[in-house]
Amino acid sequence: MALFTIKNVKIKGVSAAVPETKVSTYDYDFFSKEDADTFIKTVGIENRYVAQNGECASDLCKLAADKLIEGLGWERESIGILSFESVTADYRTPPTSCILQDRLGLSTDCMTFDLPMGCCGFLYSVCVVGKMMQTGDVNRAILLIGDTITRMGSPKDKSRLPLFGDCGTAVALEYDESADDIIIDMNSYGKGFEALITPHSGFRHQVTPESFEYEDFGNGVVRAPVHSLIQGMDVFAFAISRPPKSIKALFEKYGIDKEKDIDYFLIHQANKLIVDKVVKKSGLDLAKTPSNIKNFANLGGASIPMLMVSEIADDLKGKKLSLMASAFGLGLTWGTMLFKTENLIVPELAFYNKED
Amino acid sequence: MELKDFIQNFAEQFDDTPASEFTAETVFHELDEYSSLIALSIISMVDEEYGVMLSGNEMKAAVTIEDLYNTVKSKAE
Repeated sequence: MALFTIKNVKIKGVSAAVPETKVSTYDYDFFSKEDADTFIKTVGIENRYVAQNGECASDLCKLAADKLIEGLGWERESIGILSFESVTADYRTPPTSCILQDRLGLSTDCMTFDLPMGCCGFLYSVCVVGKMMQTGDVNRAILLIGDTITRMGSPKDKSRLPLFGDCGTAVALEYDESADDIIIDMNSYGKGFEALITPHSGFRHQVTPESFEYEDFGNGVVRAPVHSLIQGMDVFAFAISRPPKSIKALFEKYGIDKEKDIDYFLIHQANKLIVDKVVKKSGLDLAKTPSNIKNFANLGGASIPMLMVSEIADDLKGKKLSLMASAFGLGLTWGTMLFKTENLIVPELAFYNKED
Repeated sequence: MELKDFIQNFAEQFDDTPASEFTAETVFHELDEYSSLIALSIISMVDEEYGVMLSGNEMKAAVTIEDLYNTVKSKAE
């Protein structure tokens, strides 16, 4: 347990944007009608929004950030940190956050950096940026969290393509001495790094012409080394065992009564099989566990901010809430976060169209 | 942990295959009902009953139910 307590930092708002193009599980030619029915029933995903024509995570995050900054009424020059959490950057160099500083019209008096952390991206962003802000050196920060995960994989990989959707989100943090503590537990299991990997993508195995040669692995898995892959069984075994332990340990350490002390449990929407197990093993109340997997699929790091926008926006806007977030993914990494919100700014979900 | 209990726990992950089909020597990958979803149920059962995190490779490498039992047993110790 690597435990962090963030003081004097308040979450002020959250927003999200998806591409306009919606793809139904029935649209995939590798699924029969019966396959699609079974997939929807067991994995829980009916639709996802998919980036087209070169749409990037940065484009989706920029739209989400514009909506959020307008909603908050913040002067753009008041933002001192801009982070971009994504594994689908515009370029390998330079960092996309630098480009977004300019595209968002932020001041040059702004620290920018990228965090490529995957499904725990929301927790990493709040932890890293929150910790930097707690002495009041910087008053305001915008955290961008988003990916175009569908663009990383093979269009012919039945084991991966239907699981993911594309999305960009933005979260606003502000220095505030009256803020409740944000508590985050983060963990890593590097031994499992090959469970979610893009084999030819960096300098360990550089991209060569061979990187694009497709191989048929059977069971509808056809991909090239340049594509991201998912070892479903390994990810499943990890996700149902480690996150519930972190949730339990954090509840015990802080004497949290999960019936009374928490309004919503926000679980990374990996797929229905995993979420159901995590909920059951952690003994969470299903009525307090919102789900959006059916409409958006797995959104990587953006999953939890999107859950806030799509499922509990009214409560976030109008009430004081006590929340728990649990995420797990790439690395492999997992974490649990306890935080409170009050009267957040939550703009309507935005739809991105490159032509706009 | 006992092999007999493991076989019973293993068999409970299947809906249609009769219990008599499951023995220590059963080559489970060849059962008609075995699928990727059943494999996930088995991984889940092993996690809950024995506190062991199985890998996909370990599932593939096990030929019989007893092979898988031995893998789980060695990891549980």
